Amino acid sequence: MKLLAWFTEKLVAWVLPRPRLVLIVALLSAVASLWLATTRLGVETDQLELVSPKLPLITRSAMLDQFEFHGKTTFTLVIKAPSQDRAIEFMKAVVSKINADPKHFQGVFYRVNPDEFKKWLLYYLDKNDLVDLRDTIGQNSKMVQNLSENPDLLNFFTLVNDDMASKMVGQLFTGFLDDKKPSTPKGKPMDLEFMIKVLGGFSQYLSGNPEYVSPWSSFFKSGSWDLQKEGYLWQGKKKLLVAEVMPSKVKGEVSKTLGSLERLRSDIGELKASGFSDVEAGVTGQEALNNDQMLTAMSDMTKATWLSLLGVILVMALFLRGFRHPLIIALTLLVGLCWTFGWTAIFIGHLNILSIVFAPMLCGLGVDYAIHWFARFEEERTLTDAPRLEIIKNVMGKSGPGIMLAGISTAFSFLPFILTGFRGLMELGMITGMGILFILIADFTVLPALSCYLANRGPVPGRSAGKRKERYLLRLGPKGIRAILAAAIVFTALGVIGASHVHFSLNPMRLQSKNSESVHWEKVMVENSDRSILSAALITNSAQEVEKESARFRALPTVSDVDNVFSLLPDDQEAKIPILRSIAQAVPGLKSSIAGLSAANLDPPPAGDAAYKASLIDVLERINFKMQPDQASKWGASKPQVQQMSTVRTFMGEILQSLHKSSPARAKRLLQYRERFRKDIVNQWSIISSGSSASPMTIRDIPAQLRDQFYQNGRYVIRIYPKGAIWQEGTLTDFVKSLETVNPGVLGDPVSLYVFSSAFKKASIEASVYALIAVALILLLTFKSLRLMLISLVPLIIGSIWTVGLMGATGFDFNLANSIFMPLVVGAGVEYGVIILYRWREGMSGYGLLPYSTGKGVILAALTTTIGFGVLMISENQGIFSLGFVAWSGSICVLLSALLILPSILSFMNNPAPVLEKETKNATC
Amino acid sequence: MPRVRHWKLLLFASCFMTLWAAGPLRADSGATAKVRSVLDKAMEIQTNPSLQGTSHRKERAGIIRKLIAQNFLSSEMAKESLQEYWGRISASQRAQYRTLLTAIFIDSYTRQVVDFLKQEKIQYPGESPEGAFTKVKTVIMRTDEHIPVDYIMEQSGGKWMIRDVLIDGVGIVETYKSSFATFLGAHSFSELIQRMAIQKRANEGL
Repeated sequence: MKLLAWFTEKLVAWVLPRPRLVLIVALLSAVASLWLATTRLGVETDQLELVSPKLPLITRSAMLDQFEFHGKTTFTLVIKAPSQDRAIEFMKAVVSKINADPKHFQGVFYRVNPDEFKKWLLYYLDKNDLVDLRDTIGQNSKMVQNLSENPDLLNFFTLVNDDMASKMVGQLFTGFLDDKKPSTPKGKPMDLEFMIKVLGGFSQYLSGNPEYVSPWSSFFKSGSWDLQKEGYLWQGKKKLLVAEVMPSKVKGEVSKTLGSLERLRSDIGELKASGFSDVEAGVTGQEALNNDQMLTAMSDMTKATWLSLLGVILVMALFLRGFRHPLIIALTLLVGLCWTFGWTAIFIGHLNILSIVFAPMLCGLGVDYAIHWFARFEEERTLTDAPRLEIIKNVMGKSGPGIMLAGISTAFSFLPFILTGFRGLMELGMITGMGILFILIADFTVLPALSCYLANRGPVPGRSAGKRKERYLLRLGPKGIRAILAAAIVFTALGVIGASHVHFSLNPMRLQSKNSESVHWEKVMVENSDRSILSAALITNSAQEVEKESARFRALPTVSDVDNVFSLLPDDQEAKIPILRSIAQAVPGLKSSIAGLSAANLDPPPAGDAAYKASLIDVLERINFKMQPDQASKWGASKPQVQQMSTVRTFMGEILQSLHKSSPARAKRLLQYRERFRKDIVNQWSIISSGSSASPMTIRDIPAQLRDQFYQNGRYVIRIYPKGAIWQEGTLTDFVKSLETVNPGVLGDPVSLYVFSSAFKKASIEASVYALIAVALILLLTFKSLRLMLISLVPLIIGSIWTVGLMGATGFDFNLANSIFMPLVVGAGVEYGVIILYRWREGMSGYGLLPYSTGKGVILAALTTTIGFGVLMISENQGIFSLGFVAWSGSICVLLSALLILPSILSFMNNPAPVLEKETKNATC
Repeated sequence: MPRVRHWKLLLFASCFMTLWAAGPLRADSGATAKVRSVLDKAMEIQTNPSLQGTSHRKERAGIIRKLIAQNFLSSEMAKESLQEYWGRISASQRAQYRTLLTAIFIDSYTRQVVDFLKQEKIQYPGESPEGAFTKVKTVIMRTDEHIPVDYIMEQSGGKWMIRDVLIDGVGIVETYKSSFATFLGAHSFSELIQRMAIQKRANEGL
């Protein structure tokens, strides 16, 4: 304390004779600091780098990044459309815009070229499906043979009609020969699903819908592919179409990918406005989430900083009854803030998602010392008629050391964050701790220098010194003290109960802004995803290891699924070969004129003439005659069959009506449909024909874009999906720990999240402990009394218990943002205790009394701190909001505890006035 | 020269007219008339107000059955439908088979007529020779639907009789042939007779 008093006295003795010089130096250095901040201060968004840049997991994760688009940053484009065709159409439109804009985009991965794996499509079918396919081809050999000769629509309907007629007559006259379980094709009940598919698609097409519906999925059951639609990256049972967009990184922006993100969103908006109003689309993925989070946070923090400053000034103006002193305080604070920005720009160079909140917080915390200073200044004005300079000297002499001690204590409640080793907290601790020290320096240089010119002069009018001496904010009798202490015990017990309901939430989605586009689409993906969108990973060097480790991971109860490069290959290929070869024998070659041509190279059919249309009408009417639902019902057809017949008749009616009307547009649609139908058959044919004779697929045959995600340069990646909700702390811990029992080298998002959250939790607790230790040591050294040191910590400890209890009562959990509240509140909690204790040591307080100026100063300081924390609640970012709420309620709890409990406890102690007088005398000597 | 030309032209016109007039006569050899008369009768029965409703269904079916029995050469159909098997079975088996097939065919056809035939608009596009027989083409026309039904006619005892019917190109005799061949490939002839007997009994409730 002596040292502080000596330092304060010397500093003031140097400042007061040369206020102009001090102010000029302060102004110039503040401007230089601002310039440094605007030119050099960046923002970092990588979550893992918040832990530690030297973390081995970061290096290993960088290796894993190579398997995800070769380490390129990506945005995830998500499309939700009324139909798959529409989604594909929109995707193609966006892709064409992306490809035309190399300034903003490096590329886009939206499709695996289906031609690259077309040959092996049949291998991907289940064995039973292959058997069904073989049977279907065998049972319809006549139609298959005939279509290979003439894959035309009319021929198709003619073949269908022949088949129907044959089945119908067979059923009428020889149906009694069929066994109950039909062994012959003729015995099978007529399934009209396929006809309905064809007629439905045909009818829609004729009525003007350009979407072609391939009917072959119904005919071949699972064995049908429309190559136009294959290879796209569908998710959520084909409800969502996604693509990975690689942005170009532009230097100089807050985020290097922000420009690309904004361009992509603008492209989407333009497309939606130009004929895609029925399509929903958006951008998400980690990079977009980071960008949105940073944008929201920065915009909110800018608003919060100004709001905090304004709020603090208004509160001060109200309490200090005028604008003159608040102006001095605000200017002092601004200088301190500018120095902090400059120091951060030079020594750290960036802000992170944790340290970005420092400015509004410093506004609330840092202003306290100036408030205490002016509270004492006002008191001194009521005590003496001395000139302004003398009063300033008095204030500095009496309250300076206490204020200095409170400031240093607060700074040292942040600075020990460095010891946690958690980079995000280390930086926050350094910036905020240094910020407090800078503000403190400003409070002892700029503030007295400004006060020399601007502070109110002379005594407060209309008040006598004698009366003023007796003013107390709190007068507690023995009963009141007992009541307060009893209430404190009750509330603390309730706080402990409430605290037991507070958990730790890991879900990063709960930290983001609810209105953020990337969060919306990430939620859509999570809701529609068949499995967790996060997976752990292991990098291995041999195929044997892949198989072995994958099997071990699969056996874990915490694992739902394991993917590796081999799981991209079809299952059980060897067992499927005989079935495929039998299909190859059953499938006739296409007519020589179309064999070898891809569907795209086929000549269009000859223009539809009247004879063709008449033949088509004829055959469709003949089919229609066989669809008699009423009679079929009487003859014992099942309800679904009768229903199918009705559906066929409905579509048939629509088609015939369209065909009977003749117009060039209708003729063109018929011709187009014939063309697409023919191409479709040729496609199916070539897939079945080439697929049934293909050799088994190997990893070399997997399309590179897909294979690279699992295998590159002799290195394999195993991806492991969790069972259960990964966002729950228990599930995540169990998942990661169980994976580590198989192989401690696992990495990936869940591992990073686990490492990050564990490190963060540990660091937050460590930061609180270190802060407490540092503050306790300072207090012990200052007060030289263990008892006083412990008493000064009471507001902090009791206030913290109340705060966590309040969190439990209001349903707030700890999360990755608000866990740092405790070390933040340490500073505030200790400050109030120190100020009250210091005043108590002056010996001015009696039993259960709290002097008015001290109480006022503490309340005003607490109010400004709550403003500093409270304005964080304007943030749309839920993490910052929750931090704001918890820190705000924490500072109020700590204030109540300091104002009520501390004087009550001090009332049990002897008046220490002689001690302080002695110290002051010694310091002066 | 002009005279000669006129004479030649007249001769050509006469020949053409004769051939043109003879065409329909040759096409309508009586087979079409027979088919028309059978179909008309069947439609008359089907639309007779006194035979409408489920209570008269059995009575109506009886009359139709009679009409079919009178106009179809069902014994010939039976023989043809068994192909080479006909030569391998005994006379009593043949008789048993013929009786059963005739009954089953008549029942099946009767049921088809009773259930499907209404007062139809029937087109008769013509007739054409079909080997030793004559094919009479008909088309049952309805709104947005139609079906070609061809009748293979044979003259027997000076009368045109129906020997086979092709429903949308699928012949009944051919259907019997292929179905029986498939069945006999996996079962014995007595099993076929057994199945036919069961079917005959099942049809009795028609």
